[in-house]
Amino acid sequence: MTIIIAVQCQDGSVVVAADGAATFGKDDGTLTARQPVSKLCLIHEKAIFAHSGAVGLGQRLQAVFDDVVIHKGIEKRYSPAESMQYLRNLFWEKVIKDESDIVNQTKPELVRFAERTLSQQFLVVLPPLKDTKIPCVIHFNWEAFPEMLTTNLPCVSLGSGQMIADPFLSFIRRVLWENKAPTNLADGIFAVAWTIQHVVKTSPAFISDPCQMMIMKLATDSTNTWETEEIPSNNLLEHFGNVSAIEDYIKEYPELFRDKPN
Amino acid sequence: MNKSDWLLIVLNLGKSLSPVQLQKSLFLISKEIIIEREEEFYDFEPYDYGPFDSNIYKDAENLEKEGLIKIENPFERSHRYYCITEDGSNHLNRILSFMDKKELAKASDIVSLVKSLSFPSLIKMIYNKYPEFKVKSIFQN
Repeated sequence: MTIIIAVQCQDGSVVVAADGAATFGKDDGTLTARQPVSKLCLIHEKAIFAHSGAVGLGQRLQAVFDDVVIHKGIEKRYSPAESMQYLRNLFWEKVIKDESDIVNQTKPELVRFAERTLSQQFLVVLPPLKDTKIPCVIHFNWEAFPEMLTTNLPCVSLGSGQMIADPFLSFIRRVLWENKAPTNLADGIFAVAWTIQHVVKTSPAFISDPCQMMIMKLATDSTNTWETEEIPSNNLLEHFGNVSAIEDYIKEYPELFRDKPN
Repeated sequence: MNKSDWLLIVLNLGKSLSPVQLQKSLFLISKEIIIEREEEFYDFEPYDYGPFDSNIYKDAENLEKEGLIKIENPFERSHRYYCITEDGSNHLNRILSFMDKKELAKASDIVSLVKSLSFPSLIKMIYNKYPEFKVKSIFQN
């Protein structure tokens, strides 16, 4: 059970966050244990990989992406659209196609177990690609079909918590961002922290703290480069305090209508 | 007195503090009390919401292991709370007997002020008073 959320702001900065619980289970779907785990991975300090689904599949997909980032120089070779196609082909050919073939050859009575393995989503965050100036966030469905975040499509959620996260992100987008992307990193971090907390607090089970959060932002020096970093868990505590502050504000709203004693 | 003792004093005065209230109370104490004592204290650096030292949370976790404070994470809230335990209060009584009463009164005023302000008002107050800690603020623009 997982929730992963990514938001791209109008200034190009990116926030990605995930819950911190891995659910272990048997092939028949019986859940056996919950363990703390990191679901976001910093790739060579310049890209991010996040995966929801069978851990082994995620490890193999991450290895493919790792190779792309360090050896293939993707950001210099391909535009965002070309990168979507390039990565889709790689993920499909190197990992997913074989698994898909196995599912297709599985006896009908076992297909539902085999299909569970392929039930996955993942995303990558890349520094600015060829002919672009801002980072690129691409998410993929179980068959590595890619979709890119844009100013019109500024957020995405993956995993079993998506059913709770998507409506909440829509609410934030409508109420706080006028149906646009968040203006800057502060707004993005706030929205992601609030959504993660909401999902953790309301999910039926197996989505839990600690939250893991990574950002890609423009360096504050004059190098005009994009920095990728993980926010240490203790440093997130004040962000969650900010979330509590808006929840308090909403809670106190009805008081505004009550008569005050003279 | 060491840094952790100040953390206990702040929690004793505030009874129950959020992470930002704990951070900013200790920051104001560093600026208004500790600076005159020239003793080792938390090393605050500008961060997303102004002055910040992650060692405060590490010390709090250690104090929790010693049973001197509790860290609570109530379901209905999105952040945790830090509270002093009875053992923590007993431990603190020995320290307070040696403490300058004027300093304690000043610390009490600081914690009361911090607790009286909403999250945004507290951050604004800190930025207005100590603008050098705004450089990495997420509210920069």
